[in-house]
Amino acid sequence: MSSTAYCYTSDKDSHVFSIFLRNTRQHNDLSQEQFCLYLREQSSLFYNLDTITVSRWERGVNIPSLAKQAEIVELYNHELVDIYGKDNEFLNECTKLLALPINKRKSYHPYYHNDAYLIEEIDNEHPCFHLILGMILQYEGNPCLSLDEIDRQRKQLAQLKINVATAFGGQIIGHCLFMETRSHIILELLNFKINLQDITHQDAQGQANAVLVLSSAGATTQIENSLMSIYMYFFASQKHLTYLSFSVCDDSFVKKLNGAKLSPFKVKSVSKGKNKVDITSFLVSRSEVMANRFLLKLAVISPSNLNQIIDVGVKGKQAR
Amino acid sequence: MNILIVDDQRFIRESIKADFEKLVNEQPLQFFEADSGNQAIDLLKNNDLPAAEQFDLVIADLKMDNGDGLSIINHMASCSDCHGLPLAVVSSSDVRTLELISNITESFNLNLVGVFQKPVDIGHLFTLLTALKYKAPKQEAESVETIDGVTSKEIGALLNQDNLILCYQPKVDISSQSIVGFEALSRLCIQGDGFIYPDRFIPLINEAGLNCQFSQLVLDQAMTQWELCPNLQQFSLSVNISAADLLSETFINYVIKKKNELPNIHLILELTESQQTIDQDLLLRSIAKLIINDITISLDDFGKSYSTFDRLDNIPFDEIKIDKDFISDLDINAKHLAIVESTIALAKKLKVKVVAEGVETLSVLNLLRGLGCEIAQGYYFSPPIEGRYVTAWVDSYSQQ
Repeated sequence: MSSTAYCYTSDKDSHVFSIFLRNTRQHNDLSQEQFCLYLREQSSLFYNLDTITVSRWERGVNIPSLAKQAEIVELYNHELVDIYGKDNEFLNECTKLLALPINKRKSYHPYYHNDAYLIEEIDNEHPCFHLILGMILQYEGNPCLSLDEIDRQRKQLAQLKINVATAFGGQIIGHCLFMETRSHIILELLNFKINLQDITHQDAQGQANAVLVLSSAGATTQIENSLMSIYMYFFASQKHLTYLSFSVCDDSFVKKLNGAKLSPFKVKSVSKGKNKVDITSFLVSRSEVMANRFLLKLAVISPSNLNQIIDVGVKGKQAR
Repeated sequence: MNILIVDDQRFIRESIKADFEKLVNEQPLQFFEADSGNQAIDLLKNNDLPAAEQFDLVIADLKMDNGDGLSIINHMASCSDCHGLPLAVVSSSDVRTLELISNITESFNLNLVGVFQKPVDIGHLFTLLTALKYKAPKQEAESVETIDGVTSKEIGALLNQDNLILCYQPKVDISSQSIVGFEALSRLCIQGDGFIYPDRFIPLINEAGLNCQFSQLVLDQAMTQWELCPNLQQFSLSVNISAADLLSETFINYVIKKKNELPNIHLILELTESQQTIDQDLLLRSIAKLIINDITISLDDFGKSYSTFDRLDNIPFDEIKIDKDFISDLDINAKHLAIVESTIALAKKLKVKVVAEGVETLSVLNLLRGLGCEIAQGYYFSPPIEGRYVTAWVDSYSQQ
């Protein structure tokens, strides 16, 4: 299939999917009838599609669900992140999820009031890697994530990806911890067959097909979203990653995912000393990510884009 | 703080009181005592104030003469005056009994602090009680039955091909590792809300009485998928139906017509139990009609409901599927292992195939192989796959 010019900036008022549809159809020299017939032959989701519906989609009278849009877009070798990521209106909506509120007092956090912040990647070469990783594991309190002597084995921990948000010159106000791995390994972890220590000691056999998020938090909703966008973009920009999984103990993050209309895959209680800890896990397919407007919004924000958005919020101030 | 302590032994009541007095300094404590369930229920009933305002906590023993702990649980679950009143159950019973009690109270939607083995650690109990205050109150049973505000009255408008997406999960022969078939699993996708899973929308559909319409939609999409991909026709295609669907003659005729139009597709109907009592004779006649027309019947969620043995006796099932709740922790749960082991043995005697659902790890798969289970389904092989990826998955699986 040849590539299609799917976004014309002149079509300002049209829905991004309508534009894609119209351009794709015209590019392939198909009438609406032919296009309709093609979809009916290609996909069981459209076996009862009619030309009137195609015409309505093109005119933006109504738009199918993101899941159905994904089906069509993928028939032409694109993904929803590609086409939505180039739509200015959509990008504007995404920016709203991340940008610092102008009103500084709109923060319920005890000391952080929407001050300027930075997001930094912490790799295993970073002098504070072991301290920050230790802090995140402490925060999460997930018994499956215990690691011995982080500093000594930091070489083996290269798979762990950490990002932290800092304000006031170093105070951590948010973090995320995730890794690329395989779905089988995730299932073993979720069933307590292995723990993080085992994962980091295993040789990476076979290609990774999943992203596993082990902790994600921020002092405000915007910071939470910014940190989420880091792994969402990482996931979405690599087509071989077909599953996104979360395994977390942090109640407020679980609520956030529920609020984003994700249903837990498992909730398991583990005793930790005298207390019980609930580990909630989610296992989301790539199609499900694309069909979820909130996740899609976070997935189209590239790191450079993210830095720009955060920077705009602190314009006129010394960021560093 | 007003605490009602129910125990037939006086020294237990006294020691609970003493522990509380040691622990709580900042607020005055008032204790009420009862030595039997019936006396406690009288105390809960005969107040000027509703029980939930009169008392802050009820601590109840399980085993007593003259009304046991269960009668108190029953009273608190059924009496609206007691709604939200925290209850702590104490007992010297073994852990399994306590788990059972804990499950019973869960299903009653009581405000349960916990089920504690004697001697009770009052400090721990008090911590949990304090935590309970900060926990959001449980939702009323009625409001659970919605998807983001969609009620069963409105679900009808959402049930159409625009909102339905099927995913297909492979069933694999354990000994040869080859694919034998796929089960179609439904998702609703409304605008940009991601996937909504059957556990949330099926109850609404049943309540609205739209189960036949919905099963037809699923059948249509699934059969089209197999029709469009001739490569998939070597594998069976399973579609879920409820027992209530089988009571509709229109539905039965529709399925048979579909099957006759596409005779190459090996169609399996997976029958899930429905709660209501239904006309068994009509059910059997429908099933006979389907079987005569080369449609296979499978008994889904085996072990989850009560009447399955009865069904097994009457209906010529081709396969039974063991529910994933029994399978996924088979290797660490001895009770589940025993249940699965005997189910497989039973199936072998009855000469029906067994499918184990919810296989996620290699150790569970190995155990099932050892038990002689023939077919497995679960995330270990693959999560449910969207229609457009099924053929590619089959290709890549076959190459391994």
